[in-house]
Amino acid sequence: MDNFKITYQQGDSFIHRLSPYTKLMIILSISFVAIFNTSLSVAVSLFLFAFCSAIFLTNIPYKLYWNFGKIILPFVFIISSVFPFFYGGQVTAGSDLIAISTPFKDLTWSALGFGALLGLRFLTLAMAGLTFAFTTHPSDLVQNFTERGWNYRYVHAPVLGLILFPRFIKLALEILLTQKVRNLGFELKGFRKKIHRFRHLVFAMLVLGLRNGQVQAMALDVRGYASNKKRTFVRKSPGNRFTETISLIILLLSIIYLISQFNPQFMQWNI
Amino acid sequence: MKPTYSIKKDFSLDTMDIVIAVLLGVCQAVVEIFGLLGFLERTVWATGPVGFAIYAFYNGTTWILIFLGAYLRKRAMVPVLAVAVTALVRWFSGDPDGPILLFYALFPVSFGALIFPLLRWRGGSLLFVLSVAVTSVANQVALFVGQGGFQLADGTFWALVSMGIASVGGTLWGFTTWYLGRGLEVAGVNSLDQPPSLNVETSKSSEIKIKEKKEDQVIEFNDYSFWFDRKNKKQSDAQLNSVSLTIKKKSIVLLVGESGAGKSTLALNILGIYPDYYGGAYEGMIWIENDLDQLQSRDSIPKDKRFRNVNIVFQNPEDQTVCLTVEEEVSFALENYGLEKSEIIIRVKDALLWVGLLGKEEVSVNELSTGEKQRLVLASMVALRPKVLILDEPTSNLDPQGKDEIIKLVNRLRDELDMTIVLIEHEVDKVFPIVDEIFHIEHNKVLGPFTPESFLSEIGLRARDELGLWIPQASEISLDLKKRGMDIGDSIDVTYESLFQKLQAQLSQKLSRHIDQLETNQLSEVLKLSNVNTGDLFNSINLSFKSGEMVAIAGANGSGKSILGSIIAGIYHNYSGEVFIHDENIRNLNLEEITNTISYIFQIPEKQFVRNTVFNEIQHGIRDKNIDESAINKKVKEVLELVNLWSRRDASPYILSHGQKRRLSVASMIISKPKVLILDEPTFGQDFRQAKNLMLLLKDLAASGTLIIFMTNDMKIVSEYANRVIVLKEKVIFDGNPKVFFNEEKLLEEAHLESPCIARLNNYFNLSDYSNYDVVLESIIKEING
Repeated sequence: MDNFKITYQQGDSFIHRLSPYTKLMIILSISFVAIFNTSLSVAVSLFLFAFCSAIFLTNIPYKLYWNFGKIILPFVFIISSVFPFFYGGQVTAGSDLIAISTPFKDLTWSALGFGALLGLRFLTLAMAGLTFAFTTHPSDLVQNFTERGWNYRYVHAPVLGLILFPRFIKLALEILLTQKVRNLGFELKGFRKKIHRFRHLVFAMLVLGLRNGQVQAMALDVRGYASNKKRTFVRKSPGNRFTETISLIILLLSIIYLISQFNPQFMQWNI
Repeated sequence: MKPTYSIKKDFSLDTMDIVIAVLLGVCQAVVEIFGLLGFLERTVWATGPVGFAIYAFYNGTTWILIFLGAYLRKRAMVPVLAVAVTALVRWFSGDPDGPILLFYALFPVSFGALIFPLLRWRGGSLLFVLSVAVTSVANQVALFVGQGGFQLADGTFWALVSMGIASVGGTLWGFTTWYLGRGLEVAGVNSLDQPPSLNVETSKSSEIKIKEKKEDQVIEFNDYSFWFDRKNKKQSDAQLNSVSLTIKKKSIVLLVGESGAGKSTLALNILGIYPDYYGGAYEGMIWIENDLDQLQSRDSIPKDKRFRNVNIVFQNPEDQTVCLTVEEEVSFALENYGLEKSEIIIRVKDALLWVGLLGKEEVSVNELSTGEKQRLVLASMVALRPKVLILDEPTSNLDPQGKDEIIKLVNRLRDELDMTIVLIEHEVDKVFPIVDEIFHIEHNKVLGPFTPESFLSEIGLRARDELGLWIPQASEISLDLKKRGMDIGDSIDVTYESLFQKLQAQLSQKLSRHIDQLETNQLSEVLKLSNVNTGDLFNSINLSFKSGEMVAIAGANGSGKSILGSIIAGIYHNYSGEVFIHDENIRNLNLEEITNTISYIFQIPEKQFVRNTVFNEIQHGIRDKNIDESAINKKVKEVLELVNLWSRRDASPYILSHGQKRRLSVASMIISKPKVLILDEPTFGQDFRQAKNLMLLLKDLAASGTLIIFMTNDMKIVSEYANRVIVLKEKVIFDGNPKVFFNEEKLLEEAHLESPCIARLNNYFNLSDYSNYDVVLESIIKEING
């Protein structure tokens, strides 16, 4: 885990050149529409938009997307194949003709469409999320939001998290090794042993991690952590006001679209 | 005065709050990613109303760590930040669930966090119970809104039922949060008693006080006392007691004292970290030179200027790196202080050149070696250019060559950048020759200043024998010879060269003679390594070990010492070749079978603890269930008394001092009487007395037949205690008598190691077959006396 790298990929593509704020607004737009949308055609369009943006506008090899994205495929499969059995007219995503007969339930095209909708939702979110992570350096994110008036310390906190993350993984692995070496839970068997070891793992990670926290906090303070209101940034962060404004408009449009689809009679969308 | 509540304080965070929120958020991210929580949750949801009900009960478990932050720091904003960190860490590490979590989790945690300001922190433990319960219910609502859960839960009725279940589950997990917080407090994790939002204390007056400089001081203490506990200000309980001292400009000052004496506390008081940032109470004054070359009272220096002129590098570089790349790390402080971009670029380049890291600007900090990280944190200080730099054990993680580089750098900082350096250091052999003044901290009082010579002549061997401090070995020899009536001049030598010159006049260099293989209590071969090869670190390792040997494995940082020890212990598997224990290939044994024979002790003792008290920790080492309880207790008592920990038997292992932890880690392994004991840097961070006691314990074990293998950079320990040394550099470049090794200049240089003073004298004058201190000293005395 010492070789852990953030997902950011150096590049100069169109999406790389957008500011983190712009990208985040677009992600928000996509996420809102993806989560609340109930139209299959909109879901397909959204997924294609996210997919094409990722493949054609980032100059990042599709294999990298596959390496990270493939872990959610089991989720997508479960959702797409299991949820149709719980379809009860939540959305209108196809006709009521029976598409597949199963021993449990006959599935209509609408039910299958419902499953497809949920699957596309997660695929879209995953694609958009990965695009953001691959094209946004965490330090640029910090800088962009600080320059917009956010408190630097709060915005920097996730970057600090990324730095500490591999150390925590290493610590966890060392503690797991200790448990094996010292045969923790030797008096227990099976699931009880696993629970016992898990509790020790979490407790030891917390104790060792949090006790070092004081030194880390001191180390930040002595280096002037947010001691000044105005902070210099050496790294040139990408983006410009024009694209940021466009992205804000896109976010507003997506919210307006969702409101327009809302059916207050049923507290649901598009029924 | 009744405390009034300040909502502004509840929603603002200081640095410690942020770090705790980040640590908890990262811990939560680790649990979620490796526990595949996203996968598990969706699988559960897929089962419909029953699944939602099950999820409703356990969703509160994901909030335990998050609200632990609220317990420890007593601020409503901490859990909110922790959740944001969890989501963003997952997002940026490539977890596709990250972006969903950012929106989906902030909603419920905000509800839970609002409980604290709404109730104004009244309610004690029930407050945490309520906050987790509310968050669990809000989590369920978020799920329904986000996942169309009203429909999936088969209608509103079941949705409401699942929310009810969430509130019950959340109550249970809220108690767990509170209970976990209490457990962490017992284990030594700091937590606030009172919420800062209820704190009515006003800060002390910051009227600017300036005073005239009489000498060329840069720091001055006037009758300064400090207490960690504000409520207990008895003079006898002060951590620093009526300290008066002056530190001169452009000097290198050394702080010495036994572990726990107050060296780091003094350093942190100079900075004002204590009491202004992390609590405590004080009386008296500390004066620090400001930008106008005047002495200004520490507490009147604004916080944004506080660390421009005085700064610190802590012992462990891992605890101080806060950025992703080398360049960002060095420029971090300069950016914080708002220097001009052009100035920052120049200073960063200059600083990297200074420490030999130029060209590595874009390298990830996590990819650097320990030595490089140490140089990186120094580079960030070189770039900042404070007037005074405090270095807390800057060489502790380094091999001898690495230590040399740091010491040279320290000299250059003083000579070329006019910095005043305050050193806290155990590695006194290299430091004494460059130090101008020494302050000795004993029983919370500061004695001095001494020059190195006056320290040695006034305190002398008492420093080693009574106080347990390290002193340069050349000085030790010099003082011991004087103590035994030898006439070697008035001055006390600080370096090998000056001692050698004196002894050269009195001793003659003998012809070298054949060195016999040292006798050990050898019984039989215990371990054998055959063609062990890791590919990148070392290859073709063929070694044989016998019982009763005390073997040191030495080499530069990164040579693979720890890996070799781990291979022998059966806990590292990424190698080719064979390891045999009593002729049995360890690849055919499971870990339990291996650990019945071989015990491995980690470099950091805390990572080895598995129980909640010292007594239980030792007891865990006896695995034989056939021993009855009274016999177990008797054995445990014996071992605890042997390592002087019986009085601490009920304490949490995590709150012991460093030396106590090390003794505990050794004791918990030796109780099961292993045939082989492997230790990684056993004397790391220990003062002289602690190191000596530990090594003597190991020597006794070796005498009773245990094979002891220890990995170390400390050549004094090797020469004193090892009867065999194995040196690694891509392969075994030496295996044999330490005395012979210390005579091999080329090998020493190749391995980045140095011969200790006693061994150099021994080899030059050919005094003894052994390089143990007492034996060589006796030989010197015998030779001088003719």
